[in-house]
Amino acid sequence: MSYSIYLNNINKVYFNMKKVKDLREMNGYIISNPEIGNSNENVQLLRIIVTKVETKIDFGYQATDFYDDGGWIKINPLTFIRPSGTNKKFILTNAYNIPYGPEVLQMNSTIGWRYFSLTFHPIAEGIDLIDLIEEEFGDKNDFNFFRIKLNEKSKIYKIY
Amino acid sequence: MPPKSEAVLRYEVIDRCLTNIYKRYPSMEDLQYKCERELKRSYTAHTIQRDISAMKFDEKLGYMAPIKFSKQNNGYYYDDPNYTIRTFGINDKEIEAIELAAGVLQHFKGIKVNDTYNHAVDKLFSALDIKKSSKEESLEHAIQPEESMYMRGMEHFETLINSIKKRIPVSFIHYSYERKFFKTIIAHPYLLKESNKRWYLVGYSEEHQEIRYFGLDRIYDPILIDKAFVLNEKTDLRNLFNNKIGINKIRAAKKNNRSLTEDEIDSEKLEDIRIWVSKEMANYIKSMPLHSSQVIREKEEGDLVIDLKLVPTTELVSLILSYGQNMCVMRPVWLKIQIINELQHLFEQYKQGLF
Repeated sequence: MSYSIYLNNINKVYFNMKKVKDLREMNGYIISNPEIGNSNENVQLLRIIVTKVETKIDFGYQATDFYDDGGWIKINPLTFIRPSGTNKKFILTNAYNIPYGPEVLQMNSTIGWRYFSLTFHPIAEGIDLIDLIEEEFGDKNDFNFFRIKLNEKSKIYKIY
Repeated sequence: MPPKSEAVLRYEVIDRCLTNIYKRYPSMEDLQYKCERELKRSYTAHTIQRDISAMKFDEKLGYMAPIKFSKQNNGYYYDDPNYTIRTFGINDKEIEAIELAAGVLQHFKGIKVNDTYNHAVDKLFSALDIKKSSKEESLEHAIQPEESMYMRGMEHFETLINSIKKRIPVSFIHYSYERKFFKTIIAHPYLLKESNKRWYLVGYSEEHQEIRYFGLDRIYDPILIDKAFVLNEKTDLRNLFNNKIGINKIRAAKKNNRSLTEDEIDSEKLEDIRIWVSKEMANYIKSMPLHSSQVIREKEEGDLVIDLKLVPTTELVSLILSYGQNMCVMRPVWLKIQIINELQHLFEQYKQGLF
């Protein structure tokens, strides 16, 4: 992605301010606590909201005592989701409650936490497994999740 | 409410004409025409003239409307541009009572209960202000409840009330301060409960398979979902909090420093609690009991022994500690030890000069 698109993405962030679209108008469904092929030490992938307009993924971050001040978080603006095993990318459209890198959110203490959400271009119907990639070939500090199950019926709820 | 008399209906039409900013200074003919059109009856100019006079001078009617006639514009107008009779279905005493109640409503105005609430309170106040302009004193500050601070999560109040009212389950993210962990919850909400200025959602949690309390400040992004609602059939919600002070049970594991089963941890066991109260505090406890189960035994020296039967909560411990040396737990022993430990830790912190 070019630098201008990167800047454009940064401009899109109204960090911690912007209101998430009214989901009830979007006729979508949620996947509550989806099954994931891997785990991430500090970040929990909590819920996915699939609508015709966007795919929203909710996360919870818990700081640890690895850093004295709890460390920091940010999200790579080039983060994307893809159907597992494919190269098709659905790009990040917005980040709520978390800044795009290089800007960071300092945790201030080892007991800090953050609820944040990322929205992506809407995924096509019939996709059962997706990966969420912040950094291809990244390390444990990157928010990478693989083989997120979208078709587990007991975890799917239609939005009212 | 009894039906309005025809005269009152005419007063209201006249009032609407006099407050219509798009057609100022309505003439006698205008008023007559409007009344006839709206009430579908014919009236003479004399009737309208009599109505205006009643609105201006009839003390029993109570409007005392500042209606004037403008020669220049050949029409009627209110001398006070803010005047309207629309607020006056009620008499002075009722206005005072509403003012007092409105003071209490005003207290909650800063809290975002829902989008229309603040607007409604503002409207009520501005309506009362019109009447109050003729009064010397305001009762606005006659009631001063404790100030309610904005609590994170109050923005979900409206969604959650809708969920309760329409019996629609809700999905939300919950963060546990104690466990430092997020959870995705599917809840079937039954009520919203306030305790110690904090609001809690009380409902059946699919995750926990029982009724749970969720602090609104720990709830994120509630979304109503299309799913059959689990009705509460077992628990008496009206009396759910009668046996407690506050809402947060003391973790049973802390009771006696041993591992307990989930059942024990979640038990709502009533305990017999005996507390000593100093003579200095006795009258306060007699005039405002700690709990409805309170039974008092007064001792010769004036101090008290009170018995309570309730589910121990963290709020109870805080309450006891808030009385300092004037209140001591006599039983159960585990609660006594817990408070002693709490005080010892506190004492150590002060002693070490850490802060």
